[in-house]
Amino acid sequence: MARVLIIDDSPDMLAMLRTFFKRRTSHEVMLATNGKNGLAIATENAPNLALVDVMMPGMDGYEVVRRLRADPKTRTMGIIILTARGQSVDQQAALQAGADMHLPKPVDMEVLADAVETVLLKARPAGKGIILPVIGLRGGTGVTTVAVNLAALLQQVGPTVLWDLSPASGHAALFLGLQPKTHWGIYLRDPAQPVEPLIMHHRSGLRVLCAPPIPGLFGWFSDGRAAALLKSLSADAQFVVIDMPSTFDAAVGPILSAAEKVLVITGADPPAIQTTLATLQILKRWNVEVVLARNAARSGRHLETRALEQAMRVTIHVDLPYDPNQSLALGKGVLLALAKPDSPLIAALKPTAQQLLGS
Amino acid sequence: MQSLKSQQIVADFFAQGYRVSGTFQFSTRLFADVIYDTNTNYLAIQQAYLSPITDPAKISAYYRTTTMNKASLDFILMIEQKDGLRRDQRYALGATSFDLCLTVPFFEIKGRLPSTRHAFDARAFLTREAGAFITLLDVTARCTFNPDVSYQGGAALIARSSISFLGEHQSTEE
Repeated sequence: MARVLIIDDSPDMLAMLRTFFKRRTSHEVMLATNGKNGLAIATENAPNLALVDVMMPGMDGYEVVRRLRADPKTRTMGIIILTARGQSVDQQAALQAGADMHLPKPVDMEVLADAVETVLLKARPAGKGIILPVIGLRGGTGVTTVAVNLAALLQQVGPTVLWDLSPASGHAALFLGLQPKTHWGIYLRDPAQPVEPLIMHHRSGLRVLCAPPIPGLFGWFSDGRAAALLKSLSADAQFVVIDMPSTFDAAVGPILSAAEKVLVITGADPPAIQTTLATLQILKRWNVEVVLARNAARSGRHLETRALEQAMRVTIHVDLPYDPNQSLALGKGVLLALAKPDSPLIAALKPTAQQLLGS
Repeated sequence: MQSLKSQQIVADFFAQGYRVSGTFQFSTRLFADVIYDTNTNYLAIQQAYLSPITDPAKISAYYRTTTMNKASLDFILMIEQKDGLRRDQRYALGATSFDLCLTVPFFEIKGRLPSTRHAFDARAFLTREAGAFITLLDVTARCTFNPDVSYQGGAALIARSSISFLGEHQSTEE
């Protein structure tokens, strides 16, 4: 159960939201009719989440959010801006002020319920399930290679779970030499069942939620299902590494909303460049920091990273070299990060992991 | 921009370089009917939050109640399409529609004009049709001097007197 503070000058809206939380959740609700009162309640009660209206007399919602973020007592709480100002400029202003999410009124109750759980997940206490999505919309850039080895490296730091979110017969299990006997498709068929029995265990201690071996049989995630599963995975892990699908669909939103950083993998060929630039554009919708990695997934001559940066007009934070050891390890069904921890790829991934953890 | 309940709507009012987000309360007549009404020159807006269009997310002033001169409005944008329709339009919008592009001060607006006609004549539309406003649906309004800033709405009521250019928008996609 979380504590939720609602700050809105409309008595009707306060009454409606109070009813919503009472009927749909077990969260404790606190109400404030203006920004000043809301800040006082937040400082005193340290709620987990605040729903803040923008258009309020006296102090507007953006200022409320800025003050909540400036106060050490309320800095890490989840904040959703809920406003009738629903244009894209308003969304940008909300995120710039420090909100985790911007929802335009009128809001669908299902959307609000998903948003509340997603942001509460992000506002978790420190040390609980840091979400690390690895994404690359262009196939063949080595997203799974990076995700699997990154998860193995993080497992050496703390309990880690790897979620293979490929809709088309993911390969994380293959990289780890596992048979995907259990997978998230089973969860989709029966969301009421506990998630833990579906997780497979690698001998390194890394826990893996595999993709269904046969695609298309189990359906796909709604954003609510994705958020709920992510919540379960992060509850018992220090790190959740997600091998992301190559599309921006319903499952992606809750994950990117819950993540503080996302690792984007690009190649150097024109389709990869084009797709990466589009990916970076789309990622602006979320308040997530992008770490861009160029991965030389194949042997041969590669464009210099600097030339690639100039072509893309973006900064590439990580340069992952081609590593012939990776294909050998894959053939043997062993994990490169464990079999050859000093190989070029793993050597480059270690500082990447540190960068993702902000150290 | 929202319908909080049947007797009030929240809309964005654009006039002379300002964006005002405010609530309009009505009882018997719909919002669009009030706007189109040529017998009234002023509009009472509650909970009005004012922003300059140079910084459209910044709230620079708040007025609990304010009166707006309809003649000075450039356009009004609503999220919900129904909020931009007059009572007669709610019954019958017309079987055809024309994609229009027009300019008002500081904005280029694209949207769909519902119509009962089979061809669009801009001159005839501007000179012969009655009413101080026109209703466009599925609207995008782009700020002239900051094209990255655009506003979307289900409907917009646009002041005829503010329109400087008007044309049928030809899609380049086949």
